[in-house]
Amino acid sequence: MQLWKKNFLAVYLLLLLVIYGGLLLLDAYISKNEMELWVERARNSEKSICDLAEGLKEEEISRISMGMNRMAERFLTQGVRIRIRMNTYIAADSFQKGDRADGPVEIQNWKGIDYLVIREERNVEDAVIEVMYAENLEGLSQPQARRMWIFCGGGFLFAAVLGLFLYYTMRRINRPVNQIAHELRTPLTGIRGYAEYMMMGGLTEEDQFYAAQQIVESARSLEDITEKLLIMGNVRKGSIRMERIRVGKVLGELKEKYPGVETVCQAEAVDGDATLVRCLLENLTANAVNAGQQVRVTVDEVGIKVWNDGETLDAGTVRALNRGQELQNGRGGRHGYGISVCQEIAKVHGWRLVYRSVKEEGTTVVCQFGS
Amino acid sequence: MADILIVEDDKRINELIRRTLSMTGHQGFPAFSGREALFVLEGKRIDLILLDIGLPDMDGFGLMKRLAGEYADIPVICVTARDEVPDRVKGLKGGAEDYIVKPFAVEELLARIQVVLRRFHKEQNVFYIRDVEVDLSGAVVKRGGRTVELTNREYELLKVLLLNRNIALSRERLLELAWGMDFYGDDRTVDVHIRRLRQKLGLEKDIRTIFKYGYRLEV
Repeated sequence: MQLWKKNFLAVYLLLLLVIYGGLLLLDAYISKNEMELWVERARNSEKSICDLAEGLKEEEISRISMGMNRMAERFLTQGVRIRIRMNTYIAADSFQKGDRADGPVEIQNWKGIDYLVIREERNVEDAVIEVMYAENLEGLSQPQARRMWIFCGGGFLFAAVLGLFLYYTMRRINRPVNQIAHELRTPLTGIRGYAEYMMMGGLTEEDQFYAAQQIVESARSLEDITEKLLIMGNVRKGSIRMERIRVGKVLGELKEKYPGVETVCQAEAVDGDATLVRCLLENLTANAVNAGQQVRVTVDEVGIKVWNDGETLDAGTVRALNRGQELQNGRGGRHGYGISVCQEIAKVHGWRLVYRSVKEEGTTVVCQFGS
Repeated sequence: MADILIVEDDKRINELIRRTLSMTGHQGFPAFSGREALFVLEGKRIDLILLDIGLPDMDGFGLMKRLAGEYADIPVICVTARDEVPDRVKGLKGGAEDYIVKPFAVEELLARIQVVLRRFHKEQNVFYIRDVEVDLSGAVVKRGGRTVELTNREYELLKVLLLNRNIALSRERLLELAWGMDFYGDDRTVDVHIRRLRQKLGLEKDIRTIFKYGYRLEV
């Protein structure tokens, strides 16, 4: 697995941990608050029942017992059970047989249903009043369960969106580095190969000189790429080495490498980083040569134009190119080699790279000086 | 000796491969693009193709597809900077016999070329050095028409020198190639066997000592 993918997985797992950990904490906090409110409300209800019972005498309680039982039934329809006892006399009781609680406030599970149970005993003169109040907790737990599912789903969506964003960002960052690493391999092959060639021995003085010259040239191009890599690593406006580049010379070098390409020089010189501008021109030309039979590279005062007569690119591909995305194999030809590098080079110079593909006109990429 | 087509757009690397091949007796034909490669193939009988994947005019994989018809009997070795597993798999599935990633060691390139040539029976099996005749297919060594008795190690050493002719090989490399990776021996083991080979075959001048390095068979 590539290093950046491993990094992505590590970051994503951490992200999942943070998202779900955060949601869990939030849910626990909200649930705790809700429970406190619920207990507070239940205590108040229980207290008012207890106050009512406290104000009555024993004989009055037995007299209004029927009314109290009706009240208990009404409470029961709302999921609340109550029991009122004065000494040994039970004035109202909507509890079922076997339902019991010992503490002042506790949660009891009776027949699979959770109840918040509040029990209070008061001594009034010579009588003992006991009120037991139990409230069905389904009204609290059901919305809490619903919220937890919403949190899980929301967390999943949020993590997926963030994960996708992270994946594409890391891939976009990694691609140019990957490509430059590929570019390094060619001069490295030159250095190693010609050094080994010299070690074979039995070479004429001329051969030895040629091999040494190739090593120097390879080292020079390695230096160029390394420099480019360093610059790309600190992509900042102004960090590049601006100089006056003779357009004719650069186009001449390009023509040497791609003899079939038509070059049009309409500007004497441009201001830019010579290594980066060369890299930009070479990558754009390589892509154009790969895409079409005829290629024309024009440099004028306005910008650099690279045209090819290849197959027209669809709108989606053009949009992707203008965003600096690399093309996959089979989509627009070869690898779309170095497109993001070109976009970055244009950006550090303050230029703008625009792709345009029109049927019967071919594909043109314009690098406009001054964005 | 094999005729090898080198399809590589980088002139420097192309020339390096051509020179290295010529040192070992092969003939390299340079091509800097897919179209040039097809042009060379039309006019010349080629034994092996060394193919770079990133060509200026066409994808190396695409070129392999085009070769699959008319030139299916020519083995292809991909020599490329692309080292990712999907690229290797694509190359090998596309018909390449081998896949070499840049930067490569020249010895490795030559060894892989030999393996592929052997597989396609295009390898040279009989070598002549002065009055010495070495037939690698029959493992027979003759001097002046008379068979020379060589020990297994002497024969292996001679074979390694022949297959890497004109290339200076270090003593360590010779030990590795002729004795194997597992052999735990002294550098002097090589010197002793070289001395015996020189005496038995009269190759005192042909097997050159490279000072403080190793030996080279000059042919």
